Amino acid sequence: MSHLWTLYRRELGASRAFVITVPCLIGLWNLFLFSRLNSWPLLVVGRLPIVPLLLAIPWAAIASMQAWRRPWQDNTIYLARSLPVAAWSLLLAKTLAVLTEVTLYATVAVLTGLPLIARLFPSEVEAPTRSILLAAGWINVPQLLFVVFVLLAAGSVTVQMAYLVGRLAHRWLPLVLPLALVLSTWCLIRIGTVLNAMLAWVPPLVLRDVATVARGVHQVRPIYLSPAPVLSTLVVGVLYFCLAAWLLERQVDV
Amino acid sequence: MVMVPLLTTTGISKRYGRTRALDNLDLELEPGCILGLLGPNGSGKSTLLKIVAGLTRPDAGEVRVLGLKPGPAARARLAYLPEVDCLYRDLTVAGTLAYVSTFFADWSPARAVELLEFMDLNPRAVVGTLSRGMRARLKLVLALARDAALFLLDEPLAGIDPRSRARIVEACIRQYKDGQSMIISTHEVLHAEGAFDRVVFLEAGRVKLAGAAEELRRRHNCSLEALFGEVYA
Repeated sequence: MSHLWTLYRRELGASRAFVITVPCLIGLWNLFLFSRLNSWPLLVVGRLPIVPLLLAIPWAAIASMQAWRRPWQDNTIYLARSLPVAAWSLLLAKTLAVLTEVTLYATVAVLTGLPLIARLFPSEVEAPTRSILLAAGWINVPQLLFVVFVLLAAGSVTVQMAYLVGRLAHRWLPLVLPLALVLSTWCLIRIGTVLNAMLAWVPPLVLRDVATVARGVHQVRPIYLSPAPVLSTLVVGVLYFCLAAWLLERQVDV
Repeated sequence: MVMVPLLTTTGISKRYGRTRALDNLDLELEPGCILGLLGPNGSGKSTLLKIVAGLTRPDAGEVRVLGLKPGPAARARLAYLPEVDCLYRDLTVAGTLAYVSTFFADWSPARAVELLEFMDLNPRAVVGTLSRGMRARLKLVLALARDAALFLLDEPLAGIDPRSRARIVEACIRQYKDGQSMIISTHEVLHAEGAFDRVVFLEAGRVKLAGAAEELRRRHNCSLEALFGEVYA
């Protein structure tokens, strides 16, 4: 466990420049939007803070790719692979580091963007409505975070596996990597579809429909979401993780 | 008593595209031996060491380090110094030592401090600010600060200025203990030849000449450096 922690900290340290720069840029972006509050339409200023959140998805993909590209570029892969740790530890450390980076990125985007987004809603919300929204938030947020983390982790592992498949092709990497990425995503969707049917028995996620509250209805309706697509993505993600670890340990040359 | 070989490679071959890096290579290394792996660039020295260290897979053949297949358990018992500059440039010298030491039970902090002084390295210096030669020295510290059974040093003199080479070889020999083994791959024979017990001359992935260093010197009536020139003439 201590090895995993050390590897994880090193991964974060290696991408320190991005970990510091990107949240700073997001903060500056939202600060810029604050300065435009009186000159730009509220509908525009209130919605633009969402842009960094949307960019978190491609950012996670790029960070996952960089997690392997960088050590091969600067030869630190020699040091990493000469350590007496299993390939899965390296892979897990990189995945956790990517998730941490994206979490930090998203947290800064939400915290600095929320005061702007909140201006889109009426400033005076009745106390009962506020408490209903708060209660719904406590129920929705953990479940949605679980869904987002599973999807991000599976996406990150897919990109990492595609990169390692690309490494097998040596100088054909730029050609094989996108092919591997497309193919593994296609497989993820196909296998996921089969697993969806098999996981239909799993109880649904129960969320609260806050949109009705926002429209002034004080009765919160439940929304039922099938967890099968998320769980099947999780299963395929674990399979890809095992495959990537095997590739790294047994197939990929440094 | 039968001496168990520390390292055995049986019929290992490796190709990179059309280039044959290793061709059916057999090698055995017993404990307590410093082996010089000699050859020009592209003779397969680095590939052989990478295969032994488990960083590269052979296309054919088998490798055993202390009876173990290359992998995490074997890597825990061997110290590998790669030819390339593989250090994290954002870490300090002390940070690099702290990072690597976490993973190895046979790490000797006292020896690491001693080696740092010997190599004239400032623990507070950031790796990225060091010269190539100083980074090469730091790599050596990382390998030699361990009490490993087998040391794989790939071109340890590369990037080191000629005046310091003898000092580096001295460091290698100083850290060497009975029962341990060392493979030093180099094409700069002059400074290292005094350290070798055995030598293997490689060419195009094959053993061209091998034997005890002293016996080869006597048989050919010349130094290993001169013999190197003859072998690859």
